[in-house]
Amino acid sequence: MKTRFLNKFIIKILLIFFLSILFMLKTFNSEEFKQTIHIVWVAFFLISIEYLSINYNPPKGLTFLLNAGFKRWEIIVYLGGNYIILSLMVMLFVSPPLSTPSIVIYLLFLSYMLLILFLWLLYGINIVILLSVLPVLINFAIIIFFKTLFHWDFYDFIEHSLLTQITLTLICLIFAIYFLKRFLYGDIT
Amino acid sequence: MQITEFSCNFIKKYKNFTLGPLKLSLKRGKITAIVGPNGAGKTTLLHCLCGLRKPTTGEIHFPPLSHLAIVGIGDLPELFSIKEIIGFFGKNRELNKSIAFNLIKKFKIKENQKLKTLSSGQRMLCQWIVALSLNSPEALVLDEPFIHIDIVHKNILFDMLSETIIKRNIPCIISSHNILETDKTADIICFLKNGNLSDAIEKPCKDVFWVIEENKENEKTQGVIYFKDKVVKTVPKNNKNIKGEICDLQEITRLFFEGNENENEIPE
Repeated sequence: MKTRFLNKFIIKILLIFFLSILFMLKTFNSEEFKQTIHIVWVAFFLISIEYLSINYNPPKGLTFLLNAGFKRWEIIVYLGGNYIILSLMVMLFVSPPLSTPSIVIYLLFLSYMLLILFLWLLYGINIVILLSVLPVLINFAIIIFFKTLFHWDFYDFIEHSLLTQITLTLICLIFAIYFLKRFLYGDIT
Repeated sequence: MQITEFSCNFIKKYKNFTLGPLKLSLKRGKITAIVGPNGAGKTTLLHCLCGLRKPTTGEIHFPPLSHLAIVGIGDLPELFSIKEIIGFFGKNRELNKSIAFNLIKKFKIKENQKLKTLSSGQRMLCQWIVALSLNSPEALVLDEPFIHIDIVHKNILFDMLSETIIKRNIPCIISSHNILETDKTADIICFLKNGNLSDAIEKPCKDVFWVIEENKENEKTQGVIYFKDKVVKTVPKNNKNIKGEICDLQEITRLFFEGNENENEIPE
């Protein structure tokens, strides 16, 4: 409960911070501001994913899934799948197509779609919406919103900024380790 | 303590709170109640048993969450109706749908209504419906399971709970701060206060004695609760609870919850 509250609080603060910088950027439009915004944007983006994808299914929901017979690794696969499909959506649809499209990305995409199909057949549409589609769509909507409104190319700035790439990798790693450790070995509630 | 399939001996440490060292053994066909004030650690104890929280040290011998019937631990998703939840559980676990739908009818819940539109009491009843319909749970874990439920439904549930436990010969652990409910359902009672658990008291409470001490002039000086020859509480003579020589469970609990000079002391 405390974590959820903190997450909400952090997101609100970040949102205000982010929007205020955006207005400043619109006014000044310098390269330094753009760089700063990129990093803040990545942080905000990742925290929103963390919030929407993981905390969207709060501990109470996870308890329900475990009680209903799901295994921990299954939940990790489904939630992990959200991250994969989100990244793919960003790369394939929101940003310009990759210069060298990898077959691995398409295979990942396909396997994720199969996972959704499997869930749908086994548990019905509601669980697919709850676990997979809704968090992804929400994230997707956020990206589209920023892309359309502020004409930002998410993939482009990640590709061309080493600092952003390192920041992104580190944040992703921290989230991944924390998430896996918590779900496999730690307290769920 | 004898290590059985339903026993635990562990410590769970937090920054500002430590639960345990805690030894507990559950019996098949019996309802064990954990009674304690708010913040005593009841929910943490049940979460540790279910595997939702890992103990800092020690061991827990208890079936995994996927083999338990639970009420009050976690919540059912609000996007679903009770009918969908029953169907969802039925795909993974053995669930008797006729029992489930009988209960839905009995509790007057609309089977196609989404849970988010139900009242808190009705949502709690939905958890009961799932728990009581499961065919072969290995144990029942109930965390404040009667909260928000009206007296009529409570009485139905008291009967059904006892019947289920005896019929299936499985253990049940129930946490509550409400001694009236606990007194009606439980066979064994343990008190939990500030993270410390008392020995199990089997009803009727043969191990608990309430004695009024008198001076030479036959004036009542104080009331004393003994638990297995050990003084648990002393109550000064001006306390209105000094009524007679026998103290019932409700009175013991009330005195136990009240603070006095032995705030942290519990039966060992």
